[in-house]
Amino acid sequence: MSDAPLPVNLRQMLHKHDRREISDAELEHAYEATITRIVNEQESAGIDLLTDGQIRWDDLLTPITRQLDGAKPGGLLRYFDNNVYYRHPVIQGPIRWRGPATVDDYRTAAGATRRPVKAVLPGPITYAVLAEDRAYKNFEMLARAVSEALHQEALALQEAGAPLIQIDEPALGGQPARLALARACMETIARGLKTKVGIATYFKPVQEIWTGLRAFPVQVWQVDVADRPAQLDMVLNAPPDGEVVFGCMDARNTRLEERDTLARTLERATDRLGADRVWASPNAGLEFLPHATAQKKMARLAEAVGAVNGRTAGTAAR
Amino acid sequence: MKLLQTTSVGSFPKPDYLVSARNLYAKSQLSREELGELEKKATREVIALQERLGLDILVDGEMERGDMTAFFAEQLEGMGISGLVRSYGNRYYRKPIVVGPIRRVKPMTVPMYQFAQSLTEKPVKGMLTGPYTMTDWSFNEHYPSRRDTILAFAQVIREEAEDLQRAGARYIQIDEPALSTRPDELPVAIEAMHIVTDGLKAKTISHMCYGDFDTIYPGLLELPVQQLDLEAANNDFALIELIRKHPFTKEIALGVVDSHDHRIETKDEVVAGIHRALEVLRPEQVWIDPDCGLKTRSWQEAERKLAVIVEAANQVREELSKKPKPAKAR
Repeated sequence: MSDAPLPVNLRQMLHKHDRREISDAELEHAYEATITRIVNEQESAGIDLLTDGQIRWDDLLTPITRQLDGAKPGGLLRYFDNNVYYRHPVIQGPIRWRGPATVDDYRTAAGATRRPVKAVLPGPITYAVLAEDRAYKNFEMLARAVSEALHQEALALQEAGAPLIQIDEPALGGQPARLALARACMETIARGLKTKVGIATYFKPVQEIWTGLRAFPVQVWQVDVADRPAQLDMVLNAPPDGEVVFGCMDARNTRLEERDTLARTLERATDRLGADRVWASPNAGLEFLPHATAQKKMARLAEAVGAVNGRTAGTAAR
Repeated sequence: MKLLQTTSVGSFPKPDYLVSARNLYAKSQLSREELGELEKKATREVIALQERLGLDILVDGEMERGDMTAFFAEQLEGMGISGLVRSYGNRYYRKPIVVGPIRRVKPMTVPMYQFAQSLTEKPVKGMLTGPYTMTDWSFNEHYPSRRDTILAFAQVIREEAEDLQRAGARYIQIDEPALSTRPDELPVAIEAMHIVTDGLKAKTISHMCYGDFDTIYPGLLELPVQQLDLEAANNDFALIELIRKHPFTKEIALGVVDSHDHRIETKDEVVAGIHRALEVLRPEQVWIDPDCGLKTRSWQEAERKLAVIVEAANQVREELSKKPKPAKAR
């Protein structure tokens, strides 16, 4: 996920909105101003490939859930091995895409910078794993239906100019038996798209599924090498045919990585893959960190890339 | 031995006056002593409520605790508290950070345990957060690995458990709600719990919730505590089917009402839940309680949920007493 931690003033505005002290329009203005601020912060930190910060996202799934017929946000559950929560989607009927969920914020972010901004969507396997399925009562049918909806969303993001659509599949590492289904779902999402599609894995180890995962019909793979350092060798020994985003900065711990440690990881990657196929990134969304820590980490990441003398494609926000 | 003893998991809702007082204290508009008096007042009310309802094993309600990890982090050497981290939506909390070697400076939970126990003849549980959860819910800037961090927490929690036992605690509960999040780490969580509980005379209990038990059961039964306190109501007693497949070898405190739902379960629902549990568990190994701490409920909701538990347990206990005992095999 590319959630950036919410800055203080937006949190205050949200509280004021809850107390009806500000209007919907004023809150909307605050959202847009915050997206612009987050984009500017990423630019200042030296990040090359930006995100809109997913400022409006309470969790990975809910923005999409709200735009689907047949699904509604349910109760709060603990989100993987994080002491944070998400609203689990409750599937009540056939899934149908009602309209774009993420395009407006994408446009706001892209309009605030000349640098490329990537779009992020939840993956269908993760969506189905985290959902409560009262309608299909069949994992594969639900995942395929969600993929069709995500395909529509991806088309809308492509139309808005997104150069990369990143599909987040944090649950995939724990679902080796569903790798073939995950691949079929990815084919559905990417069907006919001209823009790049990427898959991002994190939280769970992917060694067991790497052979299949590296053959997915995508152009960009994101892998956690910070919390799971063995996955660096896994990628370097058997790289996919495309670009790799190395999640070398731990987005779930406040300890600030050493610049040289990061640089050594990136040097190994560029030596093996060539500079134009290597990106440096946090290993998960930054929402798990305090805002100030997240800023320091992104600046450090940019320093590390600088230390490799620009021999990478660049730094990517998550 | 009384069958189907009733208890609660740990936290109770804080009365409004205490919530206001905590806010004033945070703004330095109230002294620690003044806040402490109100915490004691609330604890008296928690104990009185449990006695009135007829619960068997009591808790102090954790009136002096905010978050179950930060409460300990604020008192341990080597720990700090981070800036705000999002919990959900626009809700944030301050997450503990391990910044140096973890050391216990003084007993952390003993004074409130002693105060609560002084108010009642019934046993009050000593309540701790386990080493695995302390690690999983803290940032770590000091120890080289998660294992090192977990084992360091285990040492200080052991010291606290010994002090609770010395202060008279007959029941010590070490909560591990994070335990199921990384099934591959269950062995180190078990190793750490050995450090905490080996040789203690008090009955040891561990509570866990909102996890995927399928991934750690039956390995979970290796956790060195005598009783596991597990949620059942919130997932429609799916736990019972797990136990049907692999027998439960410890005592269990079974969560029979959903702690995170405003709706008050009926007595019949709770009785039906207990009956389901008794299909796979012996009455001698079962205690009855809510799924989790009650701090997110209103005072009235907490009271009504606990009242239903006591009524349902009483009914099933009476049913059991009328059942003919099986004849002893010759």
